[in-house]
Amino acid sequence: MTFEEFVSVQLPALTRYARVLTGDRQDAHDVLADALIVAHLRWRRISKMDYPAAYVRRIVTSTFLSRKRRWSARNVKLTATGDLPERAGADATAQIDDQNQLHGLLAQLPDRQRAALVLRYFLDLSDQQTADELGCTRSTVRSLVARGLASLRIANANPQDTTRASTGKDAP
Amino acid sequence: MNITDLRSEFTRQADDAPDGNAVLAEESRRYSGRARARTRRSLIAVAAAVVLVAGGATAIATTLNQPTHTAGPPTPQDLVHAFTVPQTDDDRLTGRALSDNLRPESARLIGESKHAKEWVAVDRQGNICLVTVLPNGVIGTGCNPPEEFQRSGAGVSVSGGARNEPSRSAAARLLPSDIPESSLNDAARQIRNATSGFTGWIETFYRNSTPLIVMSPNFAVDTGSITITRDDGTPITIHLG
Repeated sequence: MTFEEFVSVQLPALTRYARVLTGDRQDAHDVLADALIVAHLRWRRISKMDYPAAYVRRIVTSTFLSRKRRWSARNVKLTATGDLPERAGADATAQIDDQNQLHGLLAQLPDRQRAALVLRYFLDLSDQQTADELGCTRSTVRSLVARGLASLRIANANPQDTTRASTGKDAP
Repeated sequence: MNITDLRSEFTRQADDAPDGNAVLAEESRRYSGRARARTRRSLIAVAAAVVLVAGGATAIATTLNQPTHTAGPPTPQDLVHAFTVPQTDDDRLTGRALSDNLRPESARLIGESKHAKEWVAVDRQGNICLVTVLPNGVIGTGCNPPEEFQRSGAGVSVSGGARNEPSRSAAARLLPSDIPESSLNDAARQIRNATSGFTGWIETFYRNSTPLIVMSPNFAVDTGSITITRDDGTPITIHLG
């Protein structure tokens, strides 16, 4: 498989992963471009791997984590000013409020906590797979996930979520 | 909120993913110089040998050392003073840094630090090229035709590293030689002000009156663009990010 063939198949999944991982479209663009350069340079070796997509995804993850200073500089929260419109009813806006709150809390998470949550709950990787991806131990992953969920004010994870293992090892 | 909300938020963000084609175009642009050097090493050796046998290298070197033009389109030596200085052993580009499209005898070393080594060279189409070589061997080349170089210089941003090693990166911007050293210092000052409080580095070089800025890529992105003045007082806007 050539690099071009690989990209033509995997690019949509990689862009989605980079977007969720970074939480920002432009940052996702930058991280993915950087990661693809690295993958391109190593393609001869990567193409012989059993799961090239998983390896490239790992490059995306490490690229994101190695550029965290830039993220902290870019994650500037804007606060709306002026009068807010009067609410017509709580039910109509509650869901949006929750979504906005979650979005804001996610943006404030440390990068490794965010990455751990994305790997666990977006890609549905197991603790071990997440640990492999982040280059740490399973207990560290559990700690990162627990602290991340606490910061998001998600008190209790569904027990099913902590034991589920992914079967989609090759799909970012 | 619960895990289902988190999954929904992730899915919502994924649906807002950037344009994959734009990402790929960016990757291709930045990869191209490196790829040519990597995949055509044997061809480089053959091509270089042919040029030397034909005496082409001497002819090209003579052309580069001719006096500057007074009329017509600008030439590389009009725009980059380093080209008017004879090449030394330190100036020579070797190995993978020497793309088969670059004229070897045109290469001039214009900056060197722990972050990167920078050369300027002319390619076979007459473009002015900036070559960045990172300490870990990652190479990038950015070229502009003389007319475009006169307007805004040439730049290249390079990033990468081997497995299990920290990634290295640098963003370099070569400016026309009608930018005085005082304006180069002004450019560095503007960049530092724009990135005040950020972690990163910036260096300027003025070797053989050839102005060059090298910085960590986040500085370039966060600064965006700056405006400085040429020798004659006219402004030049430089887009960094």
